[in-house]
Amino acid sequence: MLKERVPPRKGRSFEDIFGEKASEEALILSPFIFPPTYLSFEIANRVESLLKNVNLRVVRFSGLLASKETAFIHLPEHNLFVYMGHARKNALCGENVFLCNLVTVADASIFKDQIVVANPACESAAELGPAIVKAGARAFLGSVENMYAHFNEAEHNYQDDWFEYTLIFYMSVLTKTMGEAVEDWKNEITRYMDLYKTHLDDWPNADWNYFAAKMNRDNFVVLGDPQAMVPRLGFEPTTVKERGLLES
Amino acid sequence: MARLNIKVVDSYSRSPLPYVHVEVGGRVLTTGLDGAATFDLVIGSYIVKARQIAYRPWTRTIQIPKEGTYQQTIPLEKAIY
Repeated sequence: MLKERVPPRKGRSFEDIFGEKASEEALILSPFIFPPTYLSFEIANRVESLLKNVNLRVVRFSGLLASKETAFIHLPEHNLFVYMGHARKNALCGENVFLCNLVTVADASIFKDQIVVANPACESAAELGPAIVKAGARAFLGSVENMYAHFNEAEHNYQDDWFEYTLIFYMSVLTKTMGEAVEDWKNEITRYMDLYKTHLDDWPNADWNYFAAKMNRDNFVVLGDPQAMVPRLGFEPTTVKERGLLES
Repeated sequence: MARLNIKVVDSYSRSPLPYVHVEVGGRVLTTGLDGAATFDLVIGSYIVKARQIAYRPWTRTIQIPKEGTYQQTIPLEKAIY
């Protein structure tokens, strides 16, 4: 005799609670163990502040909490996914660069209808990005090659330059199309490359940083729809609905 | 003459790094599979540079005060994600 199956229980989604799709939320994952992730962690801090300042709901996980479980639990409720950390052609690594399995090609479908930004992250647009877009993501922004950190050296604080041009990129991600954001990223890096070029003789590390910036600029791509934008509906954190959620 | 034995390692894993360009006083050597490079130097002060494209550039000034054998470990910090 066939037993009647119980329909699977549907979890309470953001949409169930608020009556609207959570189309303005961002999920940031930033591992923190292997060098130079302590620098991308700092960028993640600044990007988190930036996103919150423009009233985006932001969920941020760092260190060991930036796990595969976290990604799978929280991703369905977000429309913008930001990853900052080690990656390979076919995976975002997470905390463990040896296992490197935070998000793999096999997980590509969890990003359906989302915008995914992997910056800084190496090679993510080589195999993982195309798989994610093929599985239905609106856009994937990442590099097909290695991405470099810059450091604070004796002659010049290249690290601050990097933080600045990366923050400008994330500001553009919020306010412009993905194609325009990548264009802004490249233009901003070019400004710093020009600066380093003029100091090749008197800044001992200008050549290395010129190369690093060039790698970051020339290999960064937008896959999927370059016209895609992060949806912005506005968010008032003290609405009745929000208070009701907090009280329950 | 003095001998300077340089060993280049990854700052995190401490494993030796091969194919690193090490410059001492204008002379450039490439580290072997063991991360080592050896320079014969006269007494004096030298600028030591180590470069490998995936790592943060490393530059220090060292003193060779008298004849003998000197060891210098260079920990390179990874610069790529």
